[in-house]
Amino acid sequence: MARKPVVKKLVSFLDVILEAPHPPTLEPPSETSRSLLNVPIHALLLIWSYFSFGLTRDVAGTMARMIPNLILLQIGYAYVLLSKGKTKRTKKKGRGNDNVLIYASLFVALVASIPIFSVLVLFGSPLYDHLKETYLLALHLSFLIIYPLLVVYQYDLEVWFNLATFNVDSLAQNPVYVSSVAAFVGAWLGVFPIPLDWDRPWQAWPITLLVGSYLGYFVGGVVHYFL
Amino acid sequence: MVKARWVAASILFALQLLGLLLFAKGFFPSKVVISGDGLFHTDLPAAPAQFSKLIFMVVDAMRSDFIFSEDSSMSFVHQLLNSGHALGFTAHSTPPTVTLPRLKGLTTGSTPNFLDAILNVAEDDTSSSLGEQDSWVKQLFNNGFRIQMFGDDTWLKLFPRFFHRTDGTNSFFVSDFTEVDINVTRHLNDELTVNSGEWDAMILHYLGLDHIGHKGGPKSVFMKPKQQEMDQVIEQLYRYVEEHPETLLVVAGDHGMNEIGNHGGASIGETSAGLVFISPKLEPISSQKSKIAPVAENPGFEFYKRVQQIDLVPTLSMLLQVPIPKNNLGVFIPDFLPLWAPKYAKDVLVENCEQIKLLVEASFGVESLLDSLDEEVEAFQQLYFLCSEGSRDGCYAFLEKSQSHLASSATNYNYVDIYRGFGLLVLSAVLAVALLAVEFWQSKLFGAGILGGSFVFAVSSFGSSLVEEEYQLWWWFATFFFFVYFYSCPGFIRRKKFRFTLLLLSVRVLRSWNNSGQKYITSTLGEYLSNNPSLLWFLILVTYTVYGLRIWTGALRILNPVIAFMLPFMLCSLGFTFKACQVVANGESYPKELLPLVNWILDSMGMENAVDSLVPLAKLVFQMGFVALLTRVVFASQPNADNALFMSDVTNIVSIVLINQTSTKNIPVFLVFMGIKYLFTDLSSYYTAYGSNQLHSTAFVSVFTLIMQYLSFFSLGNTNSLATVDLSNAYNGVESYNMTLVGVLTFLSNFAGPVYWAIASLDVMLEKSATTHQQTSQKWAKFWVRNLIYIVFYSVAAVGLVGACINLRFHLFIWSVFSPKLLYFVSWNVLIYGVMETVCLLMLCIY
Repeated sequence: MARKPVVKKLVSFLDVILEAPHPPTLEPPSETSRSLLNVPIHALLLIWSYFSFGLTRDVAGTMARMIPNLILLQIGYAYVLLSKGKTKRTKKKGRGNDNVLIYASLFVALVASIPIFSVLVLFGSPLYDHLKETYLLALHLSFLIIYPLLVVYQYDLEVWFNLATFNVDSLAQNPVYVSSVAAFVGAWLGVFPIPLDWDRPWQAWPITLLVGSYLGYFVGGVVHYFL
Repeated sequence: MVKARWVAASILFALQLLGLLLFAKGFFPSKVVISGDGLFHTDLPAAPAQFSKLIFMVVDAMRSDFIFSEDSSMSFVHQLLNSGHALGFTAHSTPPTVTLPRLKGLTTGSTPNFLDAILNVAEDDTSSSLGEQDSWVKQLFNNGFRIQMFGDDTWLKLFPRFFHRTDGTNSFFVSDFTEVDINVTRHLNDELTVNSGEWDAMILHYLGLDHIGHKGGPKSVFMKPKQQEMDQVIEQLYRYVEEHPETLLVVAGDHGMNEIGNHGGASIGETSAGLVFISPKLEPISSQKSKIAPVAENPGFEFYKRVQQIDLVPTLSMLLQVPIPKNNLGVFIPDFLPLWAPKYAKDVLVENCEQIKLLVEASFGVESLLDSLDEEVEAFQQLYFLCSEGSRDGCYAFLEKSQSHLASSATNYNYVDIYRGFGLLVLSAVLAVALLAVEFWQSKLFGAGILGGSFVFAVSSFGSSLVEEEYQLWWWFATFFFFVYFYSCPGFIRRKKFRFTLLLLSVRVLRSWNNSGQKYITSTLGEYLSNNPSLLWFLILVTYTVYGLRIWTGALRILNPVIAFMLPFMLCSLGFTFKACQVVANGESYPKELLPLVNWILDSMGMENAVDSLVPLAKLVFQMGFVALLTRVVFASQPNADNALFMSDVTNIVSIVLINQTSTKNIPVFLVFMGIKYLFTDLSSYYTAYGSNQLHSTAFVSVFTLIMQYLSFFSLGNTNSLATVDLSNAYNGVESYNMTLVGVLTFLSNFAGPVYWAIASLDVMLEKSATTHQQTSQKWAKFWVRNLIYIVFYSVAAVGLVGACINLRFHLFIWSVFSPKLLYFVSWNVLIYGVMETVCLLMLCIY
């Protein structure tokens, strides 16, 4: 109790930030945010196709070959997301801006795979023995999760900070965000089958995390639809 | 109120302990053996002896492929096999695949008791002696054989009085590949020539191959030369057998090894030991199939016929014509029957049947097999009847049925004790959770998190692979914890992203130091450092220096600047010197810059050999550590003492002693420990300073401690398998075997991580916030919260694990995975919770 003044002195300059009256809010929701079109069914389709294209036989190769498919479908999904949120945005920006946003964000997502890779390694992904696989996983996560977020929330750092700290007013109004969090949880839970002694080919690194994140992304979309 | 809490905690701990002990009593029954010696059961004419002399050569950890496969370098044995002078088998050794239980199996023919695996370590223990239990060694002795024994001194412990002449070798200096074997072979020249008339049986036990396996695995570069060496020994022995055809030479592995060279478990590699009978007399009975050597490598270790290792016992007894040991479950190997004329061959089998019949009768508790009306016994009756009619197949059917019946019923669980123990554990868990609920009623999310984590851990006990790969689980807990911690910190601390990243990075480095578990053998930092001794020793030097500096800059300076400098300086330089002499003595690779130091020390101690300096040096380190600790503790009770640094000083002094008990490649881990401790203390002190809730901050520190204890235990290379108990530092400073001392040193060297964190966490919990006396007075409240969390964790985990053991008691892995895990858990509960928390309590009293 006696410590409070001491504390004040230490961080007085930061208190301004801490006690900012109104934390910047997220993009206001559109009426149509609850739509079946927002449910990322293509995530299911993609993960199923990976297996039929030999994910268990050649993990790294298949993951690399499938990146273009992922990007193509994600671009389509980005258009869906933007067209659904049009009510307000059309007043400010035109179609052309959307195109720039959608294609420029691809490069940003590509770059974002590097920090994701670092986070994966920090959280225990193998660095030395499975470097290629771990990086490809980061690339997949980046295009699957970060890319749609970039398209929807664009480049406001304060917004991203709020996203990263779960400082989101209403989950129901942020479909992509719910999917993204669910995808991370899916990848996080995906590690569980790896140590089991079933000796199945799909237990290889990082298939279970990949499946977990894609399934999580889809489930997040479904959950959001019913929120 | 405060007192009542601690009484409750003590009662809960006592309940847990009692529950575990009761459960263990019912779960690990000491095996019932029939006393007395076996006798011949049939009257004359008994089958004549085939051999009158025996050379029994045990090569520790000789897996069947080492001797039979195309990769094997034992070409002389292959020649013998091809010429029919040798008969090869792959012998299944029942787990636990550790030397002591396997030797018991190889000599008595009984299946091992799980407890033997533990007694394997406790050398003083006399209960492991087989002096009273019947074995072929005893039978040979009783029948006037003079027995020589050279090699592993486990034999001397097993059979203290049967040997005529001995030269034992201690098996615990694992780093020695050559001396242990030269020690055995050097006797052969004399024993096979001039002393040839002085013995009737000779037992040789070679350890080098096992040591190579432990150090470098089955593909080690030392493996080929060692196999060649063993091959030469066999050739030398065979030359003797050629001249003395009444001699039988048996070469046997006591167990195999897994793909990384350890053993103790039940994997195919560990249970497939090689077994060869060698004598020119065997040529007529050798089949075409056994004359093909070497055999192609195969993953199932299918080399020649598969037999049980214990089948050796009746076979050997009959070949030498001594009574079969009383508790034998082995079945005479049929390949040897044609050595006798048919009328005698029948006697051999009947002898085996009569001996096993007694065991079957004892197992059913019936007076006589033939008179019993029990339905279960009837199946045995019929087979036995066939056998007594002289049917060979009938005999084997009876023997094999009896063997499998007796082997599976050898463990009679005492269900009353098991369920009473389990009941006590459940009771203690329920009470502990109730206490938790009371304490955390205001912070339900925290309580739920602690309970949930304990629950996940308890449930994981049901999966054998999750027990084997427990490291992964703790890593998962650790990252989850840091994630939750990051997000529950006030925003201000969260902005210290750099510190958080550094913390995560340090923990990540910790994780990559060693492999733990069965499934993943990845490249590790520890391995990298072992291959780069210069870097390793640079880091070791840094570790000692940093710890020394921390002690120097601690509170001792207030007492006396000279003492404050001298104590840590002496302690660290002695520790460093000891470690340097140790690597030189063990023949590990080391940078050449170390040699002048070692030579100078040896010169000043007046010694020739680095090995001789180890005991006095280690003693000095322990004594210095004790003096430093005592000085610090006495100083703490002085009025002018600055207690703010007490915990960190004690931690650092104890660390030097712990480092002394750590293998070289793991020493820099303590540098990482220190980094993690400082980073977390820093974050935690801000958390406390922001004063959101003292309960929360203490709970976080306590959970952090628990996670770090387990994580560091595994990251130092330990597992839940007995195969990784590290004994290489268990004899530091010990001149003659002293069970208590070696026990304490073994504990410190295997639990260095958990011990460090138990003490270091007090520093994290108290010191930064202990600037005022008001804070100091809260120490008991904080310690209570920590204790409560531990009680909940250990009691919930105990219920899960014991529940798993009860549920899976007929599971294939019950003895190889779950029982060792149970032992480890009891050690954690008693030593890390019981003993270390008491030590912490005492430290708090001084504080």
